[in-house]
Amino acid sequence: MIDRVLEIDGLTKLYGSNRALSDLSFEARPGELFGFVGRNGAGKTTTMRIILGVLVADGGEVRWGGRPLTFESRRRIGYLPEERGLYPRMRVLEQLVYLAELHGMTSGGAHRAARAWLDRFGLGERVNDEVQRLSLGNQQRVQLAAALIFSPDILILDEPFSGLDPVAVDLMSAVLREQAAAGLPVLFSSHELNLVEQLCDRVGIIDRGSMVACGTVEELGRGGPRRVFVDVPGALEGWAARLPGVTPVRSEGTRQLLELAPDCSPQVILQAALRAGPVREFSPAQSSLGDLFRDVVYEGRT
Amino acid sequence: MKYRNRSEESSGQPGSRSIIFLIVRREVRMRLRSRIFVGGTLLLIALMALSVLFIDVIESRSSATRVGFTGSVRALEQPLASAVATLKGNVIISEVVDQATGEAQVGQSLDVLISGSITAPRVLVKDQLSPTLQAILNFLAQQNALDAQITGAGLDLATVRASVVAAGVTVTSQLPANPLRTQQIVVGFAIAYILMLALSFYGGLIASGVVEEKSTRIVEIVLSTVRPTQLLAGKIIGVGLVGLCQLVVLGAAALAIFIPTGVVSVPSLSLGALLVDLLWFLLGFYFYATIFAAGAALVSRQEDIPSVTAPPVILLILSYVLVNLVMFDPNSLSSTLLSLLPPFAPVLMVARLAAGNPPLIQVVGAAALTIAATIGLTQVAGRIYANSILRMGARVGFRDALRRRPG
Repeated sequence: MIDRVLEIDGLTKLYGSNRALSDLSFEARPGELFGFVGRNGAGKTTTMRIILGVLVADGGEVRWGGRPLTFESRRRIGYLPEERGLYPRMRVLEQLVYLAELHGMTSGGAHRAARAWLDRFGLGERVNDEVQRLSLGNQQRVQLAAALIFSPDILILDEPFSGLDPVAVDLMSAVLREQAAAGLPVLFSSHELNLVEQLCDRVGIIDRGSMVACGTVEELGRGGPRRVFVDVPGALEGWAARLPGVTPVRSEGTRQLLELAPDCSPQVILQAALRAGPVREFSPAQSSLGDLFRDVVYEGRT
Repeated sequence: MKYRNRSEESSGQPGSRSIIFLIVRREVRMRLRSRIFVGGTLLLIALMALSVLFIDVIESRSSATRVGFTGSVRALEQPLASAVATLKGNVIISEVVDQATGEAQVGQSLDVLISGSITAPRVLVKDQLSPTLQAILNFLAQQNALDAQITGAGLDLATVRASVVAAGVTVTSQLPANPLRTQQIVVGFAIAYILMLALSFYGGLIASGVVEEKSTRIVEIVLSTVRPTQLLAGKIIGVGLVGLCQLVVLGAAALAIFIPTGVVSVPSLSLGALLVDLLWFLLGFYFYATIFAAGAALVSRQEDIPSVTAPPVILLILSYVLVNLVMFDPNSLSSTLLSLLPPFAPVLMVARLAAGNPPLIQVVGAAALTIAATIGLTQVAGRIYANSILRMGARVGFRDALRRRPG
């Protein structure tokens, strides 16, 4: 198992004078769901295309099991591109079988696997329909089946949740969890930060072509600023802002989220709060991925 | 749910050949299933059958003149019929009861009514008498008048006639005698035209297939498991096979329609000649298909196809325009040179093969040049295709597309 790590090592990609990726490194481990987040144009799709060999990097290397990916090992990657695409006039079953055979399956095996996935995705009745006759949601299901049908060794999905209805989101989540549980490294990108937070074992935040944070959501939060929720309904407005080392982040009614400077002890804040009035709430705030993302990305801006 | 029974269901890494086979099979299946293919083929066969009827109607209408005789001039029936036959004309001779009936029939069931005597025939027509018939009738009348004089002068008519027949002109043609020349030219034009159409049509199919894969983005999935050159080769071979299949059907239909009906019978419409034409289709197809594919890879939308396929389309139209020149004199220096040049060879060589009798060395030379050019072109086109096929959006610049790929 341990040798099935997908290592992205020092990738650099230039588009003319524009640096799309700059020394980007991370790894996706077997059995792990790795979420890849970043603003539009941060370099997520470029990274995935380089892993797939669809683009060639200007520097760096992608390794799997310690060895550089070759054309043959890349063919074992299941890929869901951001821009979905299938042959519009091919029939559903025929299309999946064709793609599976291109990946090396026998005709019989491809047919069995295609039918199994289509049945599971509720498309068992549509096997002989042309893809263009399916609804967009159903086309997405066929697309996912196309990435899974040949039992890939690695799964890479570019924005798998975009444009999905809630039922399809649940299906996609279940499939991704199940594939990771089967021992695959699963790497996907998404703008749905809540979903990434719920689903992923580890998260990488990419900004302007560099990995700016990488780890479990908990790990990422540990390194960040300490924050506390404080609710003192009877206090004078602005009581907290006057405290040394405290920056109010936002407030919801009387409930405030405060960010503490590194040398500022939460105990001091609690005492100040008690002096200001009866305290209804005082709790450390677990940074959400959204908070982390904004911190990291906006910090990079300034 | 797990589908990881790899040992049973996956044969591992398919070789390059079987990948290309899979791509070819998909192309052939999808094209053969399309309505355009089935409908177009049937339409072309129907057009061929119609052309037989058309030729038949034209020939019978233009050549058969209905001639009626009345009175003593009937003696001219036989001489007239044989004279017309020598001139490859066609008359239908009928007898008319009397002058009045005949006059009423002119313009209806008769074109020409001949009455009077054998030395002074009188002709009634609706509009005008054909110059040929007039000349024949004049000649026959004068001969009859001469016969009377000869007999009157006491000479032996048979002796005089024998010596008259011996006199005559001897004609020598520089071109070998070829009574089928007109038909050969027509068939040559038709075959060259069909070939040009087929090359444009199947070249266009290649272009739209390439752009379809680009615009639907399926190419990104396919190219994650297939090399660009494999995809390109599979597509070109597949579409080429479909084109060949259609032309085989059309060729068989042409043989079945034209040969038994006897409307057209020239050497260029024989099994052997048509097989050579099919080979030329293949040579021309692979030459042009690579150009069409490389051009199409530069754009991402179907609307942009014409802007990149103009060069091959113009070359094909030019080839057909040059067919006129070649047909005028199939073995002239300019015809020979043009038919050796790869862009024109497929269409022009086929035209020369139908119209003339080009030396074998020239045919083989033109084929070799076309094959060599195709091999060279494949290198360039393959690079353009591989560099451009994944670049979406704006048209890829030509120079950019030609650049060597890093890594």
